[in-house]
Amino acid sequence: MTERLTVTQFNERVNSVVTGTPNIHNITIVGEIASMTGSSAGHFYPVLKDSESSLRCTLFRYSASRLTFKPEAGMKVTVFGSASYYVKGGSLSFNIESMMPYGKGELQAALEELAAKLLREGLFDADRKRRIPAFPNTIGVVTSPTGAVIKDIIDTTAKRFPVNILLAPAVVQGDGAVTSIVRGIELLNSEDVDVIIVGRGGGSSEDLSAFNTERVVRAIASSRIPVISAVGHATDRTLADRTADLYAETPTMAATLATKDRMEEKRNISNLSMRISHSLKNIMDGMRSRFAQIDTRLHSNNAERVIERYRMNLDRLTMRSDNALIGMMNMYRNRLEISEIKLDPRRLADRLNQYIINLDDISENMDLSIERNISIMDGAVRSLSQRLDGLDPTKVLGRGYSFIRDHDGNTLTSVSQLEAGQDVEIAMRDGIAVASVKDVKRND
Amino acid sequence: MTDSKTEVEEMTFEESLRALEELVKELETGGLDLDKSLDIYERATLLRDRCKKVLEESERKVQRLMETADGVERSEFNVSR
Repeated sequence: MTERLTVTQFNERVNSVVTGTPNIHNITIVGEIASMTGSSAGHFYPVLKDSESSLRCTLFRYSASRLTFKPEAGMKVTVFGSASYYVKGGSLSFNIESMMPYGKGELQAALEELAAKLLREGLFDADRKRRIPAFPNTIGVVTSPTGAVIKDIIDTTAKRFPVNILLAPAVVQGDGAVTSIVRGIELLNSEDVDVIIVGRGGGSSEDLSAFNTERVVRAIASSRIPVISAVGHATDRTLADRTADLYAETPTMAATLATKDRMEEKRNISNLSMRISHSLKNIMDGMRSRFAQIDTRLHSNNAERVIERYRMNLDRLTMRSDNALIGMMNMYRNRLEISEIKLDPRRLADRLNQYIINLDDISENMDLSIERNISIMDGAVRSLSQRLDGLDPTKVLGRGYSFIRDHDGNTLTSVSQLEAGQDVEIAMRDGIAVASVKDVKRND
Repeated sequence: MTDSKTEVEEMTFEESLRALEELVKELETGGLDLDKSLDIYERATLLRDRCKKVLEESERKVQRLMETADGVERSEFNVSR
């Protein structure tokens, strides 16, 4: 018996077939836009076609708002989405999630148009580029919280320099990527970070589209914090890369550009320390040698030594010159004499006469000197006898003095040599009186 | 001296490195008397120690931002490996 269904039952069964068939979901279709109608709610109903068939599509308002170009009839496009069955109407439609101009030509044209516009605005100008701080305290990162990018940045900075990392998690491709990246940049701009790295992993180069959107470019351009982009590929720089203050091919490279190498800085500081020590040593050495010079000059022993050395040098030189001169003169004289004598025997007689005359002179001089000596001695004798005269006691007696002797003739000079009744002699100028001591009184 | 030490302690790595480089240049130019040279040396030593200290510090924060109903919060971030 044949099964009988209501319309709704049939439509629901078709719907379940459509929903349950994987190979008509999440697929990409290439086609030309045959027509493009819109609804008051903001949805669009494009019809795609190729040379043989056509396909009714739905572009909901949400997806339409994320388009980077304006779709028009006749335009060849690539759409991404899934088959969807409208149960009430019994119609099949392709639900478009994203749409892009198809083909390198058109895609490129759209991109070039945007690039030209941003270029005219000066967003890629070199003089807009800001200096990346040499020693950031915190690096902000806009990227996926999963995946290699953040890991590479954390690992690279850990090796190079102690710097804080602040991640603004973002979706970097597919749905919501643009909004997410823009939000990340905005969030980090209200935080205390010194530089921002906007990163996207390597791997697939397919979806760089978020980084070629005007919104992301403008977010980078208006960031108050310098931005390093690490989203493009060596062969395919994005508009974000061209706008950023610095461009890196990989996230690791970006992290390297944002930090200095710790070891290099240590070496630099050691080098500076060495230069300080060296300069200071030079200054000290300079001072020391100046002091040493002054000190040496001031030392009296040293002065004496220096003078002594000079004196000895002088003596030696004098001696040498004297000796040389005397030696030379003697030599010449001898040679002269010898040659004279040899030449003329009479010269010998003359010479002898000369010697005799010299001898006479000498004896005459001797006589004179002896006479002079005698007269000198004479004077001395006279002076001595005068002095002796002064010492003659008899001359003293003449002036009224006398002296007392004992009977042995010893001169008495003290009362201690006398006693009462002792006989003494009083010697006077012209004779002697014999006397007797009556009493002795000592001066107190 | 204490003031100068505190001041150096509060410098960032970059500030102390720049200051150190300036002093080395000044010292190398010469023509300074001994007292001034020793003053510079003393300060340069402080700056050098400050730089070294920053470099030796391996402590750093790795955090992530999260938008919540109460605003933006920071939390510790660990890479899933």
